[in-house]
This record gives sequence, structure tokens and C-alpha cells, in this order.
Amino acid sequence: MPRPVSRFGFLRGAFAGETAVLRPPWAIEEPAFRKSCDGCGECARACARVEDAAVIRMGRDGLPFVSFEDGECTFCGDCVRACAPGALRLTVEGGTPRAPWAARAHIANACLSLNAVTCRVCGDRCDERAIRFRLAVGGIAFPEVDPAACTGCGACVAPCPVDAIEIA
Amino acid sequence: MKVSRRDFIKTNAAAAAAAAAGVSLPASSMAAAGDDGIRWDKGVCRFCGTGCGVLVGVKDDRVVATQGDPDAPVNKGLNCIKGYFLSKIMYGQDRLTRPLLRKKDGKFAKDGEFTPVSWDEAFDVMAAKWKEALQKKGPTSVGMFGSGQWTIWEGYAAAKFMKAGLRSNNIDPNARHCMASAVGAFMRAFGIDEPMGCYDDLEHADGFVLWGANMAEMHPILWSRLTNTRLTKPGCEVHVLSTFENRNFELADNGMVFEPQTDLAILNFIANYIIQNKAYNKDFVDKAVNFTKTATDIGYGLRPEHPLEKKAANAGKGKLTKITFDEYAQSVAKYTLEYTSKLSKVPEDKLLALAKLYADPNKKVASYWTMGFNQHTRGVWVNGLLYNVHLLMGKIAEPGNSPFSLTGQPSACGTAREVGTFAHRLPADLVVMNEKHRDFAEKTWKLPKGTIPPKPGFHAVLQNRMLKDGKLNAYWVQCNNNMQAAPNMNEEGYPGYRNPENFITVSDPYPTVTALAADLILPTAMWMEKEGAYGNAERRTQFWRQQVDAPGEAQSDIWQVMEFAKRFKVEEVWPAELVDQMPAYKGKTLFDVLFANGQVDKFGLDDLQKGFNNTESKHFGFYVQKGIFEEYRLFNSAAGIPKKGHEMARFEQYHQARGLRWPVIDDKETLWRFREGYDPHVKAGEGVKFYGKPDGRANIIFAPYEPAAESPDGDYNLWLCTGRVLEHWHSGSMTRRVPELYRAFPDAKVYMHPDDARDRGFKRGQVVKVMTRRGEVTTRVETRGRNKPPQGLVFMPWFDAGQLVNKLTLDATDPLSKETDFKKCACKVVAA
Repeated sequence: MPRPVSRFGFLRGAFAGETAVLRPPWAIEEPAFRKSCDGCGECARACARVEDAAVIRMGRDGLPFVSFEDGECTFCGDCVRACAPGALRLTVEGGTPRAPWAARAHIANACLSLNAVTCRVCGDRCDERAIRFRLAVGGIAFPEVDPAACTGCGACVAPCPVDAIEIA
Repeated sequence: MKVSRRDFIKTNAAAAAAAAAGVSLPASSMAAAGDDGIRWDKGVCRFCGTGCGVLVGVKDDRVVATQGDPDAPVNKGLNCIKGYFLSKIMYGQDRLTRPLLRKKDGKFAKDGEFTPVSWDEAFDVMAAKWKEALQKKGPTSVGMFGSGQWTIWEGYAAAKFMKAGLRSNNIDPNARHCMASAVGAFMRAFGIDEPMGCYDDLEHADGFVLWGANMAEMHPILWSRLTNTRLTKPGCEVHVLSTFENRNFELADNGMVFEPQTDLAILNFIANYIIQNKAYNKDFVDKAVNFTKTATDIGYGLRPEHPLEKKAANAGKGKLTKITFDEYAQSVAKYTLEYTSKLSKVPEDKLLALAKLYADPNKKVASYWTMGFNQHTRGVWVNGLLYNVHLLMGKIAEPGNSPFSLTGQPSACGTAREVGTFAHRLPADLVVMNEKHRDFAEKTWKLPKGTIPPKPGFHAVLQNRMLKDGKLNAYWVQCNNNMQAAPNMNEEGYPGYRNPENFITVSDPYPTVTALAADLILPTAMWMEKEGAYGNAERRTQFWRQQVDAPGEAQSDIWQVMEFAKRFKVEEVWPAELVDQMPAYKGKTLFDVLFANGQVDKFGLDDLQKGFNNTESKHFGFYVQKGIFEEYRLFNSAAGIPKKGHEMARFEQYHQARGLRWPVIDDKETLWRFREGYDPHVKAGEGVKFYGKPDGRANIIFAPYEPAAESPDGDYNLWLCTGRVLEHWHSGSMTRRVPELYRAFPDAKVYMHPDDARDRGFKRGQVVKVMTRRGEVTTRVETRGRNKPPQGLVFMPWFDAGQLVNKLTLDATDPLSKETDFKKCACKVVAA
């Protein structure tokens, strides 16, 4: 189904419509997040201090989002601890831990291995071994994401030579 | 017909899918792409020795896309990640477009800054330096270091220029680091170079054994074919031997991690098992095999004053002595299952499973190896020990039974080996030491008798030593990155380049580590910027047409060699007695006598490939590539040649075909050599004939286990093994300039066992120093990922110009092949 194209997106060439942005880990539900987050940017600054991370950016809407261009989420929780308004929360009321997010890696058809080209970069970067390459008749191994093992850390995103991986 | 981008992509996807399924679509569905303004033509991948066919798409004089060629028999449309991004290798931002000379105050200075100069000035300075060296010390003071990445005619022209023109055999290819041990073993066992089988064995075999070949990463397309056979053929089994666990182990039915250097023992154990169980093929052995043993305790190819060389009883000796079958059986008897298992640390049941595969008369076995065997101080031995196993069983030279040496570079076979760019070789398996061979070469080249010197020149490692010692003074490196690639860079590589007595020229498209260590850098046209030909590991010769023009003033290697040859008058480089033999050559240049000799300049510009440019031919006024190839054919295909078996097709045929496997006789290629019914050189009734040897018999050569040159000890307590990764090739000089490949594997790291890391207090990703007795390199620890070393061994790839791993390695070589052992030295890893 086509996504709606905003004027902002259109002017920047996002003709296919905008994808839902990924908020920082442990963000509360989107409508509540928009209300709670005051756009102070403390989470992004905290993230920038983490080695190999720096995944939280500030969006044009003034709110933080996650981009895996320069690193991966280590789930260190520094962003949550930096969040004064409580838009990011490690636990639900009562102290039960919350999952950082439900986002998982999705491999699009542009994937080289799905197109008869040997490439296993994402699997190599996946510490959780959630991306496995199954040897197949024809000889090229196909990637498979195990959603139970995938944490959505995004380590696989930047190295993909054809930008075929999305965390959503 | 108008084809949209979407249709085009769909066409490609369909072709790729069809190829993966092993069917090829009709040509029309491929040609559809041509209407998009993109011209598609067949080509060959620039990277490994597999020799995949690629379709090259050109628009506005730029290569805009490549894809696996569905009509190419090698890869059937498949591609690896490097091949997929081929279109970008020529367009790195730091591409060199002008000659650069180190200058100070307007003239050449060894300590000057690189300054753009004209080709004329570059060659003037270079020629003056070469003439000075020739005058002072003679032909042994000039040298050239070439490449298995040269095209066939580039290698031929360079070898001819050096050996016949300047009369120096100091030309060697970087294939010395790569294939020399395989060559040595081919010559000793069979008397003729290169594999008897071909890639078709990947479908014919019932069992595969990998001996020090990380095919999954280094030859991924061949690995795809092997995988397909393993998954579709009932009973097919895959055995993998390596000194660390790599990606091949995923498919292995029997994965074996062995202690470095003990492959020598494992192979002797297999031979022993075959004999003890009387499993050998008696008819074959009686008819086609001689038994011999080789001289032992032969040293490690280090400098003669090194204690290990002084200690060796037979340093550098390769003499073979005939023995009987019983003597051979006794020699291998020591290698029992128990002894070998203990030495190699491979469990007995695994060794037994391996031996049984070879010993089973009903299983066809293909064995593959690359650098694990070749970069080995006993490389020729270990290659030979594997032939022993195949020969004992008669499992050789027929479909599916195939000991097969894979190659690293795209034309290690076609160029480095076949046209004679090694310090001891001449075209088509001839050698400089043999007077008849020299006479034939001189006659074919229309040169006076005695032109080619009889003594082999300096090999790769020796060239670096001689540069350092000031005995080799004018030096030209083409088409490779030897400063980064050669061993022991601190002690033996860099000092020679910066030795004030020497003048170093490096031809390269990019400012590599080697180029930056030179005095003169020549900008070089690459890959599709010239008409080319490569020969892959299965004897397949493949051509491509010039697709685009080179940027700026960049010129191909062959243009550079032929143009430089114009700078030398015959009298300047030949003694009077030579010139007197051919008075007609008086006053002529080396270009005149070597290239305008009535043979190389025989074909006019009318013969050029229609619709394609040919920069060199238009410059020189004749069809350079065709002339050279046809002259080369006088060595391998004319009547009365000294060595048969290398026959090649006519030039034009290769421009039509997707490659042909030599010997090509009556326009037909040969898939399996030495076997009646497949090889036209074997007559009816002969069955099998190893015609490279005078008596038609191959040599089984006994060689024992001997230890490595340097093993871990108290101070340096880990084995260091160096190697490659899928994403990078040729020292990263091209692949690291492709953004996608760089991103995929940006920097080298040291792969280490998690317990070894923990014992040293390292966390994964920590910055550490890898140190040997020769140098140190800073890197990061990796305890996961594609390679899983055992405790006691670390693995580090060497593609990264920011982490020069060859500061660490030892310049110990196989004393027979002179190939370096890059796989074994002792190191320690400490916190940085």
C-alpha cells in the first residue's frame, strides 16, 4: 500500500512516502511519546558519548529518532537515564522491565545474496547470530532473520553494501 | 524497443535466477538491456583466479554496471560481492592521471616531493637511471616485478623486453608469492605446468577435500558450485582441512583443524593407509608412475648467513632419487594413524574418514588447495604429497578425480606462468637454463644466439634483498602492490626502495603503499581501459575488448613497456659480438627489434575490434595485442616447438568464445589432460600418459614432515597466519576504493580464540598490538565472526594499508619454489 507523501518528504525526494521513524530504545507508545518528549536532545547527547553507538539523532520535528548509519544500539540505557521527562522508560509502573523496542531487521529484495551474488556481510556483523545464511541448492546461501534472536540493534544496517536492511 | 529501468532490472533478476537454477535464458532476453543506451559486452572479472565471466555495461565512455554473465561456463551468471561492484574499481577519487616524479629544485631527488611531470620527462629520467645501472654493473643490476594481474600480452611484452632486450632475467611476478610452489610440484611430478582437470570436476566428484583453501570466501563462485553438488548428489561428502575454522566448515561433513605444517604428515598417513590396506590402483601405478624421494633438510630460503640455513644439510636442494615401491611404502610407514593424530592434533576418527574417502575405489575425489599449500616452506613437497595420494589411487586426470590447484590472481596461469614472466622461465614452459629452449626463443624472436642469459634472475624475495644490498639498482614494479604484499617489510622490503643507490618506478592506477615508496609513479590504465586477456586456473584463456578510455594521461602497462623500449639503442645494451651477428639491427632501438620485428607489428588497424577503441594499437600503428598473441603462438602452437601440450587457438577465436581451455587442438578445447579420449595428445590405446615426462610417467615423490621455520615459543607464543577476506582482493588497492566494499569490511582485525583473548585480559574490539621479532601492528581483537582460530593461533588479513601485516611476517620461503610462507610465524599479542 502506498504511504502518504508529505510536502517535507516530497521536497527531499522521498516520493515513496515516509517510513515510520524509529524512536530511541525504551520509548513509550508514539502518541504518548510525542506528548512527553520535550525535544531537549539529552538522549542524543548521551548516545554520542557511547563508543561505536551514536545512533540517536534529532529529527526535523524536534524529536529524537534512531539512525544506524554510524553505529549500532548497544542497549546501554544511557539515553533513558538522560531522559528527564520520562519519554523513555526502562520499566512499566510496578518495576517490570520493558523491552527496548519491537523493531527487528528486515531484509529487502535488493539483498545481493537474494540476487545470485555471494555476500554475507550482515551475517558476519550479527553478534546475536540472528541473521543466518542457509546453504541452498544453486550454491548461493540465502539470509534468514530469526526474529526471536534479533534485537534490532542495527549492526547489520550500515555495512550492507546495497542498503537492503531496515530495522522496523 | 524501449526498455525502462524497471524492465531492465527485471531482466537481470530473471537472468540471475535462471542462472542460479542452472538454465540460461535465450540471448534476446539479455540483449534487451542494450536499448537503454548501455552497451553490454562480455568481459572477465578483475579479481581472483576463478575467472568469472561478467557482462560489462558502458554508457558515455564509463563502465556503469557489471553483472555475472549467464553464458559464462565458469560462473553461469553468478557473481560475488567484489564482482558485483566491479564497475566502481576504476573510479576511485585518488586515481592517478599524470606521471609523478620525486623532485627538489626542479630536478629528480630521492628525497624530493612527488611532482607531476610529462611522460617524456618521466622516461628520460628513468632511462638515464637504467642506463647508468647497466653501464656500471651490467644487466643483473636492472629488474622488474610484474604480476599475475597483467594481461597475457603485457606479461609477454615485459618478459621479452627484460630477457631479450635488456638481457636481464631479473623479472619475476607477484605470482611467486602465490603459485610458485604449485608450479614447482607440477614440473616435478608431471613435467608440465597447470592442472590436468577443470571446474567441471565440481559437478563430477563424489567427494571434495579442501587443503588450505578457504574457497567459501576466496573462490565463492566455485564454492557455490561445490555446495550445489554436495546438496544435490546423494552420498557426496566434503572434507575441510585448515589451521583454523573458517566458512567452509559450515558445509563440511568432516572438518579438521590441524597444527600448522602437519599437513605433510597427514598426507603421508593417507598414502600409508592406502598401502597398508592394499587399496592402491596397481594397474595404474605399474603403468603410469615412477617412485622417487626428494632431498631432505633443505633449509628455509632465508639469507645464507641465517643460522637455519647454515644448519641445513641440503639447503635449497631438490634432487629426486629413484626408489622402489617397497622403499616408498617403508618411507610412509612411520606415519601411522596414532602418530599423525598426535602430531596434527586431528582426532583419529576424522583422519580415518579422510583416508577412507581417498582409498575408496568407487568414490571420485576432487582435492583443492590455494595458499595453505603454496605459501609453505615445504610448499612443493606438500603439493607433491597430495599428487602421491591421487596417483596411488589413479584418481587423476578424469572427470571427478582431480587434484586441483586454485589460483589467487586473475591471470596467474595465463600470464605469470604461461608467457614466462618468472625469473627462470620463457614462454610455454620453456626455461632459460636450457640451451635448446634459449635457442628456440632467440630464433623465434629473430634475435642473435646468446641474447638470453642462461642463469635464472632474482626471484621476488631475492629482488628485495638485492635492492637492500645495493646490487639491484634500477627497478620497475607494474600492476601489483609488493611493498604491502611482500614479507618482512621492515627488514627486507622498505630499505631497498629507499636505498639511495636505487631508482624505483611503480606503475599503478592508484597511490598504493608501493607507489608511495617509489621515486617515479606512472599512471596506469586498468582492466576495461585496454584490450585484455587473462588465463584462469582451469587453463581457460579469456579475452575482452577495450570498453572505455583511461582517464587523463594514464597508459596501459604494455604501452609503457613498448614506449620505454624506444629509449634504448641496441648498441647501448648488447655487447658488440651480439650486434655483429645481426648487422641489420645496428642503430635500431629495442622497440624496433622486439616489437616492430615483422611479427608483432604484422596486423594492421583494420583488424581492430569494430566499435571499440584500442589506445595502444592506434598509438603504435598496428594491432599490438593480436601481434603479440600470434607471436606467442609460435611458442605454443607452431610446428616443431620444443614442448607440446600448450596449444592455443587463433586470436580471433577468443574474441568470440567465452574462453577456451588449452590445449586447443583443431579448434577444440581440452577438459582433462593426459587421458585417452579427452586429451588429443594421448593416442588410442595409451590410456593415460603423462607426456610432460619423457617416459610418460608421473613422479610419486616421498617427502617427510619437517618443522616450520619459526614456531611459537616462550616469548612469541602464538602462531600468526595471514590471509584474505571475501570483500577485498589484491591488497585492497582497488576494493578499498569501492565505498560499498570498504563499508562491508573496513579495517583489518586479528581473529583470536575467546579463551586466548580472555587469558590476556582482552575484550572483543579492544585495540591491541600484534608483535613479532620483526615488527608490530596495531589492530583490534575479534573473537567472533567468520574465522574461529583454535587456541594458540591468530589470523589477520593483510588487505589493509593502515595495518601493514607484512611488517610481521618472516621472509622464509620454500627453498625449491622460493615462495614465502605467509601462513606461519610466531607472534605475541599485547594490549596497546
